[in-house]
Amino acid sequence: MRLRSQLALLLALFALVPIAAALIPVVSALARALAEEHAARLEGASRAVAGELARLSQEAVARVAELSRSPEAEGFARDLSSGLLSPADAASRGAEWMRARGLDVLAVATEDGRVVTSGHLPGRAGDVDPELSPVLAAPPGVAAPRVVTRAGAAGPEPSLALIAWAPLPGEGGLRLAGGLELGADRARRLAALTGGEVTVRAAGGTVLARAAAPLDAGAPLWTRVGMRLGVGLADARRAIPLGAPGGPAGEVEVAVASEGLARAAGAVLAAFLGALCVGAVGALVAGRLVASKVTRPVEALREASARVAAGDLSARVTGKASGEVGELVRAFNEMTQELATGRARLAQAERVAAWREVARRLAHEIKNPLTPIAMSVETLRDARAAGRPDFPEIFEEGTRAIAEEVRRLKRIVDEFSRFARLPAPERTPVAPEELIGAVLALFPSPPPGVTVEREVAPGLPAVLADRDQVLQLLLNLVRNALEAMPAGGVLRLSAIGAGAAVTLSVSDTGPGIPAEDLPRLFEPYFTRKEGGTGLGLAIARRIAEEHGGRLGVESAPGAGTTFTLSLPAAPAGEIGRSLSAPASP
Amino acid sequence: MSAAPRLLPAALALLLTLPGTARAGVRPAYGGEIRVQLPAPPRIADPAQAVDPADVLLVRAVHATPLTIDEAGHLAPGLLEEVPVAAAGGRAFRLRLRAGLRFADGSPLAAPDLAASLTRLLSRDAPNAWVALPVLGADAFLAGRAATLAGVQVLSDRELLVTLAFPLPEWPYALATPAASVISPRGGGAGPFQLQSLDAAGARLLPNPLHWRGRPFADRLTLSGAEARASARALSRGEVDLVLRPEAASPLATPTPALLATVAAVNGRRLGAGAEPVRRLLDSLDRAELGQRFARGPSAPLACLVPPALLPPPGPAEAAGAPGAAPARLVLLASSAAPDQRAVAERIQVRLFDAGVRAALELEEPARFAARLAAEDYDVALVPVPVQPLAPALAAGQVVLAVRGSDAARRAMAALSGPGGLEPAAAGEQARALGRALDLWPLFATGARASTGPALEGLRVGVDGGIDPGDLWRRRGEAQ
Repeated sequence: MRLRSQLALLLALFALVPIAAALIPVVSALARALAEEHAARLEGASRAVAGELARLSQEAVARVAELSRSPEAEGFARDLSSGLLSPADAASRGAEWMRARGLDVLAVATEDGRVVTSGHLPGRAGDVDPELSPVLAAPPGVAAPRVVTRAGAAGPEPSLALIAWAPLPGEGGLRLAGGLELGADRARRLAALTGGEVTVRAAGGTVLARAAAPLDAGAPLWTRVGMRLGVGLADARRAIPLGAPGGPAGEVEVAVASEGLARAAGAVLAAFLGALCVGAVGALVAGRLVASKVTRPVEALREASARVAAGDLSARVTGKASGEVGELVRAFNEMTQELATGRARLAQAERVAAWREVARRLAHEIKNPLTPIAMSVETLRDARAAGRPDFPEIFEEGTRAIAEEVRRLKRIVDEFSRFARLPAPERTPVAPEELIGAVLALFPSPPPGVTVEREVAPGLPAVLADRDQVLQLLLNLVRNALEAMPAGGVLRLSAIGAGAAVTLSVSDTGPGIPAEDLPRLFEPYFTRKEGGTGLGLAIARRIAEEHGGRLGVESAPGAGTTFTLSLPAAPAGEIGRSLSAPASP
Repeated sequence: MSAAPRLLPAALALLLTLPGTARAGVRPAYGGEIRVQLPAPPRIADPAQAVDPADVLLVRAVHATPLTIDEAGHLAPGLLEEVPVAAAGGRAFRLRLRAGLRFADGSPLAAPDLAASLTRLLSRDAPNAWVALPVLGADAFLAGRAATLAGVQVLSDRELLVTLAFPLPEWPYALATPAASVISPRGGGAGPFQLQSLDAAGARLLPNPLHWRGRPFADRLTLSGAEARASARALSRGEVDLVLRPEAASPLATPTPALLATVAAVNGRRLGAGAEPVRRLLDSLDRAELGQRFARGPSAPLACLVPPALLPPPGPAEAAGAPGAAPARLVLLASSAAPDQRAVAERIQVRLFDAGVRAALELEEPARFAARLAAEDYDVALVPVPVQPLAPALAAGQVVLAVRGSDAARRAMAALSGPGGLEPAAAGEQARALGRALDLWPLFATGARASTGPALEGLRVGVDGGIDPGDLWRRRGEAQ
């Protein structure tokens, strides 16, 4: 991570920590206050539910008692005992009474508990109902919670009901049991009464009915966030057991979601979170600005150093900086100035040394032919002055020697002139195969004992090259190779692709080049050959470099020598233009 | 001798002598209106479609059958001049009509009308096709491969030759049922009454002077519907003369033979291995208790596809196949039209629940119920089937047709018939095996109760449970 980012983050953290630290006690205090308020509401809701359950119990008792005293019940008991009422007619009566009296559970049973008619489970008629037997064994006129099976749309299903019973008139000993179910409808009513969630459970924990006040379903986002953070009160519940304390038949669980309190908590939390977010963004922006001001000269120094390292000694750091950073900038600029001045002086010294070397070499090269010329002139003068009879022969020999040395001088001058005035290459796309073919065409019959091998990889791209200069280079390398194998060997020319370049190689199987000569091989005037100028390989390297390529050598004593010339491949568009252009005259 | 003719004399005990006939020496009087109240008003007067008791009573009033059942429970001539005698090993019957028969509208009633009436019973959704199913060529006609019924041949204006596909000597009993009534091409009948109007309130009928037995006694006949307590009140006030319904409308109500069978059909393909515990439970149900406690009318347990009035119940059955795991849930389909069906279904629902199976009871109105039954869209279905207890093969054919279709019904009738008939014990076992093979578990059959007012005379309930409205008359001088 960059210094600027580190500084920005550090500054942002300094801004956020106090806000975050303040959030924790505020939330804690808020939660405490809301919990107290909520406990009071839950207590109120529990009392309301308990009151409603008591009212339902009384209602069940009253409805059962009223039905048991009704004329129709009296007639039912009378007709049944006298045999006027068939079992089937009696069995169907329970459902009618249950609907008419607004009861959810209703059954008429004999003293021994055998069901005569059942409204909530009509098919139970004729059986002893094990679910109702405990109710009928209890004193009449008291509603007791009981889980009974009711016929539902998907089949018989358990239901928690408040059931009371009353004796029917007559001597038949019939008992009428009836009750009100704590089902989905009543759970909804209780939920609306408490404003929370009401769950009716059997003793085993099975959920029989559940309903929630409509308000909770659409709780806004901040309220839900508050509940998530622990300020909310959704989990506060209270269970009201139904039935005997030792073995309750079930329970009604109340959960009050104090919507208003939770909303207030959510609003406070939202304000804090908003402040936290705004503070974080502001701190980041401010930190970035400050860090930017502090680190700008340092960034400029880093960039200038990179330019100097890449050889650009003109790089300078501009801009204002103060203090230690300002002194550092000034020292850097002075240092680069010194470096540039020193490099210029060094270049000047190198140029002088080079000229001296050229002059020395030139004087040496020219001085060698001058001595024979001077000696030949002296011999001719002496012979003419002595009137020697063999003067014509001496003249002939002397002038021939002079002419030979003059040609040698001319050749030396030409070599130097060519080295000094090598023209800029005119590069066009040339196929590597054509270059190798053109070189080998100059040696239609290799020297005795030399075997020529040629290997060109298929599909090589063309290279951008001045065809004549590269041919001169390759010809030089081939001559050197042949000279290195006077007793014969293998001359091998090859071309292979190497990424965006093509490498042309010239190998021989000669004695190789001594390791100490390899570093100086391409220096001008370095030669081990008798009569060599030492400019051939220097010119070859210069041609390679002016083509944007590279000339290298690998050699070991006794293992031959391989020169490699790497030339950049011509771009596809260049090849197209070259191929479509008319031929040069 | 077949089982049915042997048993029918014994069924004389079911021939009910009601207050009217008990008053010996009182001469029947003409005139007055007979008012009959049923659980629901009749809606259909077509013999091919009528299955509801109210509709069947209307058919009996409007139409005439080729044969009748006499007081001794034997076949007697109706529109036919004589009871046909079986020929060709119980496969051929020559039917000869009385001379001079006419429909109520005055048009002549001839053999082609009888042939057409038999043929029109055969359609895919006709509940009374069982009458004509044994006739030769019935399967091809039903499948649309034949335009006419090959086994019905009109010999003359008065003669018809009926050839059956398999020996069924008891087949003439089918000609004594309302389904075999002769209907005119215009839909009219030749019964003791003719229809004056039919609407939601009921049917109003006038006497048919062209009836083969002559004009009926009453000047008018009214068939209406009401619920049980309203009917009882109306009877006590003298507002109706006869109440026919499962519940008694008066202390002197008389039960009629059990004509409505309740059969449980198991869909083994849907239940798979879970079907076997369900079959065992259905097999183990106390049928007598089921009928007595949950059916409002008089009931008789069914041990096999044939009512006990025709066959002695077979001995105790062996347990069904290998036990399997009971299904956790299943769909119990029942018709919402009959209250008894709902009560029985609720009882079976509780029995299944006690056995660990939760059954969802789905009540459907009759048309939808029939569609789901035909599509086998159920796990267990309770099917109410009207059965004419006249001959074992015919009774079995009615039950199987209602649940499993015409092909199975033909096979069932063929299995329980034969040139010489089956011994009663063997026929009982055969009927039970047939039921199991078709996954049908007969439960019980219920009848109705006839409650009469003080002025009504002439009421006679036959062994087939039928009441001929033409027999009814009012005592002279009784207030209406």
